[in-house]
Order: sequence, then structure tokens, then C-alpha cells
Amino acid sequence: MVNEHFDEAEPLVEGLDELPRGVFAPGNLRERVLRRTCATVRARPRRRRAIALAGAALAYVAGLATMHLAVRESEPTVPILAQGTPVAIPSGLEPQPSKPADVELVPADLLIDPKAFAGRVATAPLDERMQLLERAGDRHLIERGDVQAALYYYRQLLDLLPATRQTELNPNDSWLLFSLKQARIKETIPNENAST
Amino acid sequence: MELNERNWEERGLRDAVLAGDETAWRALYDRCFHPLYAYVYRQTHGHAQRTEDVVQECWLVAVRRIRTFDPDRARFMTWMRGIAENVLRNHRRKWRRRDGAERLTDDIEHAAPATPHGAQVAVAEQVALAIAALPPRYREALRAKYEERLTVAQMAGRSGESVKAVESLLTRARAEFRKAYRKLDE
Repeated sequence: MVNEHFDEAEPLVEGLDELPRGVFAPGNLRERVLRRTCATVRARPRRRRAIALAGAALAYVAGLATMHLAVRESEPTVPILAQGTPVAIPSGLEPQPSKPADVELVPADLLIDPKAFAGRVATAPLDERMQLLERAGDRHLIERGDVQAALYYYRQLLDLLPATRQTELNPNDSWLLFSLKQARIKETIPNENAST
Repeated sequence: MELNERNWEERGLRDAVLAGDETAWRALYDRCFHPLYAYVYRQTHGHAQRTEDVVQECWLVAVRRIRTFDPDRARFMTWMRGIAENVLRNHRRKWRRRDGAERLTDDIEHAAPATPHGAQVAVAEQVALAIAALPPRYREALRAKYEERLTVAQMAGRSGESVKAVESLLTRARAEFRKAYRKLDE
């Protein structure tokens, strides 16, 4: 539609030749405020993610600290290991030299960190605890040739085993565990003779 | 728009904004920017600089507190007005102190106050409200003509339209404005 009588100078409001300043919202104000508020909207999910991540990190650190304290409380006193006398191994029951598949059950880092390993043993159920001690002894003996450490774990294992299993010889036992069991057999035989 | 439909829409927009959707925020912003500006302009009695400060602060508060906007309790514009009331209350204390100091200076210098008063303010407020009620295309045409003081030829050159098309647009924009203006007068 074309207005034939269009008057360009016609005032917007009768009697008001010039509009008061500010009746139109400044165009740059609208854009400026929109930019600032949009930046806040965009930052919102990032901030939420950062808070969630910080929370998770805090929980992780708290967990580590709790574990560290628990391990410190249950830390065993390492006994002075007495030198054992060599025991003859009966023929037909020679123990296996190594058990590479089994030793994988105890991660190497646990052996590097005895405190963490002690913590894990302390919190494990009885069966698992015995398994862990045996595997730890095996790893020390087979991989590192550390007889003292292996002896330390095997002795703990034998203390946990029921009396009947303490003298039960197993061909899969390492030579050291085998010897310790034999020593226990010898200890129990004189006791039995004395009691009869 | 039905109340429930508006609730549903504004709730959706709010949730999208909370999830970081910029387009949803822009929709709410575009819907309320000019009406809020007109409202604040009226509350500040036509003080352009004060209006600008308050409007800016209102939107910054709104975007930070959008979580508290409940479409079941009020429309977005009503919620924005509530924010504007609080912001205005805080600013008024500051203005009162400043105006007191200015009045003291004016008394000494016997100068006229810088802000418009009386009937002129009333007309300005009414104009601002009527402009806020216009569709964006009409509002921009009137702004170019009456604020930027462009000629029809300059407006046509800027928009790439013919002079006749701009004349037609201005005629319709003026008519629509006068209708809104008269409605406020009743």
C-alpha cells in the first residue's frame, strides 16, 4: 500500500515535535546486555560440570585419606624373623619351583607398598586373606628371591590355617611353605608322643 | 495464548536456559526487553541513564536467578517486574542521596534540574509504553525516523527497500503507535 499523502515531517505525537530522550531503548544497550547475559547462560553448564568434578575429586581425596588412616591404624608390627633350620623334603612330594599364573592374583604394586597390602589383607574375608598371604609369599620368594619376606607372609598364613591344614602337604606349595609345613609336622609329632 | 500453554512454554524455556541453551534465553529476553525498558523508564520518570542502569542490572540478576522463576506462580514478565522493583528500591536510596547533593549544588548555582518533569514526563512515559507494545519492525522504523532523525530516503538506503515501501511501513507504524498510545490514555 502506498500512501499518496505521506508527510515526512509529521510528529509522532501531536504537540510533541521532539521525542524525549530515552523513550526508545538504546540499540546498543539491548545488544550489550544480551551479550553479557548469554555469556552467563553459556557458562552455567561449564560451572556445573566444574562443581561436579571438584566434588568427585574431593570425594576421591577423602577416600584416599580415609584408607590411609585405616591402614595406619591396622599396620602390623613386622616381627624379627628367626633363621629357620633346613628341613629335608620327602621324596615324591617335591614342591613346584614356581606358580606364575597364581602369583598374578597379588598385584605387584601391593608388594611394593606393604602398608597398602596390609590394609587389603586386614579388610579381606578369611579365605581371601589366606590366599593373599600365600600369593604374597610366593611372589617374594619366586620373583624377588626375598626369603625373609616370604617367610613373614607364610608364617601369617600358617597361623590363620586350621590345625588340620597346617600340616597338609601340597605339591603346589613353594619349597619354603613346604618346609614350614614340615617343621609344623615335626613339632606336632613330639607333642602327640608326649601326650600318649 | 492460554495460561497453561504459556506456563508450559515458559517452563520449557526456563529449563532450557538452565541447561545452557542460549536460544531459549534469547527468546525470553526478546519477549520482555522492551516492555521491561518501558516499565523502568516510567519508574525512573523518564531518566534515560537511570533506566539504562536499572534495566541492565535487572537482566543480570534475572539470568543468575532464573532457577527461582516459577511459571506456575507468575509469567516471566511479572517475575521480571518483581526483580525491577527490588533493583529500583536499591537504586532509589542511592539516587536520593545524589539528588540531595545535586539539589544543594543547584540551590547554590540557581540552575534548573537536569531531568524532565511534570507533563513532559507523563507524555514520555506513555510514549515509551506505547513503543514497547509495538512489533519490532514498527519500533525500529519509528526509532530510525524519530530518534536517529533519518529521512525516508536514508532509511530506504539503509534497509535496501524502496522509498515507497519505507513510507508505507512508517504510515503503518505511526497508526499502530497512535492506537497503542490512545489505549494507554483511556
